[in-house]
Amino acid sequence: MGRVLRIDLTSQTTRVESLPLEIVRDFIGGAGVGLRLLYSEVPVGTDPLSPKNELIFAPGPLTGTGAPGSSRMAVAARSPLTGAAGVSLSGGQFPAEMKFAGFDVIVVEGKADSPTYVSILEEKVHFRDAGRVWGMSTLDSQAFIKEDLGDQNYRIACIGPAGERLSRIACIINERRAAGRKGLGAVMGAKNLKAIAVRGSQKVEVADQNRFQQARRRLLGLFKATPAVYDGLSRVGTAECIDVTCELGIFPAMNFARTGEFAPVDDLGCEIQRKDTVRRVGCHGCPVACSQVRMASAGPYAGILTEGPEFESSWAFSGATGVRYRPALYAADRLCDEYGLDTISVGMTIAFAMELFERDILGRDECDGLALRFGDHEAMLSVIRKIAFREGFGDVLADGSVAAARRIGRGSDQYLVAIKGLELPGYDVRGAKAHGLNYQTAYTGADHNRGYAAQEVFGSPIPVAVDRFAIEGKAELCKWNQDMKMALCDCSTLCAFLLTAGAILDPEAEGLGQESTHARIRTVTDMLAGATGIDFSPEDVARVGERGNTLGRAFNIREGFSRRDDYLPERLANEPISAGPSKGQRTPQEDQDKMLNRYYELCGYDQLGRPTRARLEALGLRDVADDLDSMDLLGRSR
Amino acid sequence: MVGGLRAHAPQREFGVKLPDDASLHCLVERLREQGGPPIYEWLGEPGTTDAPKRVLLLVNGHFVFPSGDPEAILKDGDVVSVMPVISGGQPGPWSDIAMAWG
Repeated sequence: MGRVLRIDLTSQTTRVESLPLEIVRDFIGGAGVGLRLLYSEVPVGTDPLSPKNELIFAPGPLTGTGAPGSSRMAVAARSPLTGAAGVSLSGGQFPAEMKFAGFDVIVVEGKADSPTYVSILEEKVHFRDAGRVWGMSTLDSQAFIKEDLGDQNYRIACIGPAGERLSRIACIINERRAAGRKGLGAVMGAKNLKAIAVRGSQKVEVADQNRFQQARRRLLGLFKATPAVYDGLSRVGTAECIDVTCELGIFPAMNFARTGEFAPVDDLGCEIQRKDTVRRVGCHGCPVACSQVRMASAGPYAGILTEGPEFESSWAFSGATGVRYRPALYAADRLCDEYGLDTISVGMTIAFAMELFERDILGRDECDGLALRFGDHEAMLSVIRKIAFREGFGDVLADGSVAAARRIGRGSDQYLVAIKGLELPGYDVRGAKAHGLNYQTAYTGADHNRGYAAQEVFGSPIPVAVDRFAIEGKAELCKWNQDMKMALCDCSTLCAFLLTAGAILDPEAEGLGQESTHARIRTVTDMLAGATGIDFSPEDVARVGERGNTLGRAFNIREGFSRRDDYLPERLANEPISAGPSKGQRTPQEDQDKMLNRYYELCGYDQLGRPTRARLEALGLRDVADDLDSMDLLGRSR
Repeated sequence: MVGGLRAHAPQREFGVKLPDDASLHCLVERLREQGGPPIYEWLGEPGTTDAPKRVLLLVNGHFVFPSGDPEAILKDGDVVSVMPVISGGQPGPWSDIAMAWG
């Protein structure tokens, strides 16, 4: 356990190191390990697209062991989209195959002189010319590389044309799964790295087979006993969230300007999408197999298949852009996968441009002759291609909405819906306050995956049932969600959908308190302890969550982020939702300040959102405290 | 009927006649009587007195069951949504909360 493969593209050399035991103990794996390496090894102020940025692939200790829902990895780098710590989680086959090839972490350093791909076969690494594959879509790239290597069993993580062109909303694709957000595909493109192909057959050993297997069986039992897993995720996937967010009036519409007025359940909801499903796909070893392969069967996009689209992608190409035509969202999702683009940022960046067009801030002549009106699916699909290839107006949008506003000017920035440069995902958080506080404070920007408030969106009573419009108690809830997500999913790399369903938590009494929290994570803790041989306690695992989030925050503080970056877009503060079950809701700045003040207090941050020495040291991050102190960025004690 | 429940319900939206001062609890009992087999699967069969275990109930977009008061009186024009459990783990915690039911 803990084998790190370092790939230096500049010198075309590799070396293998052992991950220090204290890093595994303190961060488990995944995002925690990625953040720890980023903080220690990427100098402050590093240009994210320079050779000094690192690109880290980090599964967790459960990946490849047969633990259900664990074939996931964090991909980490300084984000070229936000400038903050960029961590994106992806499932699929690649994470497990990395482990079978003998590596727990891959760190890519430097920059190749020319397009390159790296193949890894049973620990042997080769640098290969990617001249012929450069320019290909992601699915063709994977097929081409498998043929080039003469082995169809390689698993491949790669970029498409968007990453090659350094689009800051480019992603990394493996199979059809994406490390989607924060522009990590551009980091790969800047390194001239088209792909990493891995193949291995090693068994991933676990330290205590009995303890591990007992916990594994308990976890499978939790899946079976949780109605949302097989009745929900397996049957319809995450598309059910369309129905739910419409029902709550938080399905954001037309760049968040018309939420509540546009609730297209009949056209796009999970039951109608289910009719388009041709098969299901699972990540390695997952019995749930929630990913639905759907096909447009008629109209101009007939014959186009896509895996998913997950809720977020469905929303980005319908709610965000006002499109009701279901086949178009399948086509848009497929295009983004092929070009290697983040569906959420693409959808929201196009939505932003559509609002500017509707308001006559953008003219047709500036949009390559396109009438960029909400609801126009043909225009939407045209622009996706333009973004991927930086063609014409696509070049303006290819680095996300904030960069586009900078180029367009003319007051366009008032229509931005982003936090820390990351476009908001598909929940109108004016009607879900803890979910919104997570968008505000997540170290990656407006990121639903860092602390999903299932209590507000799905009425979950774990750990407490809440009123979604109230602000009281939401700081506590947001921190609980963020820390649990970091510990159980981002570091232990168990599936976030299963956490949201409640299926990896032991059934215990409700409450935010430590005792009930620790009781809830006994099964996961036992599985981690059995796999690693480290005698993790539930207390240890719970603290990993807080430690990881605090380290992410410290990384950002060091890069110049502060409290001013922890606010919702002006629209969400000042404009109430105009219709539907959340009508009248907004989150004015005074409410945001109340929640932020309490959240900072709970996290051990000062009023500027900076971690204090006391909290950093309590979390075992003394070196981080010393580092921030040396830059006069340490939080001042209250 | 929301999400996956739409596949089981006779139609997405339908009206139910209720006596004055009827509660959500009363509505569920009426649905159990009138809904037919697809509804029984989710809400329970006619005559069942247990709280529903596989659904959430919302009134005008607010979660009212199991986290609220199912005895609250419904008003004319209220929209009641029946949503499958998508989050919340095993039925254990739900059962605890559902103690408030009748």
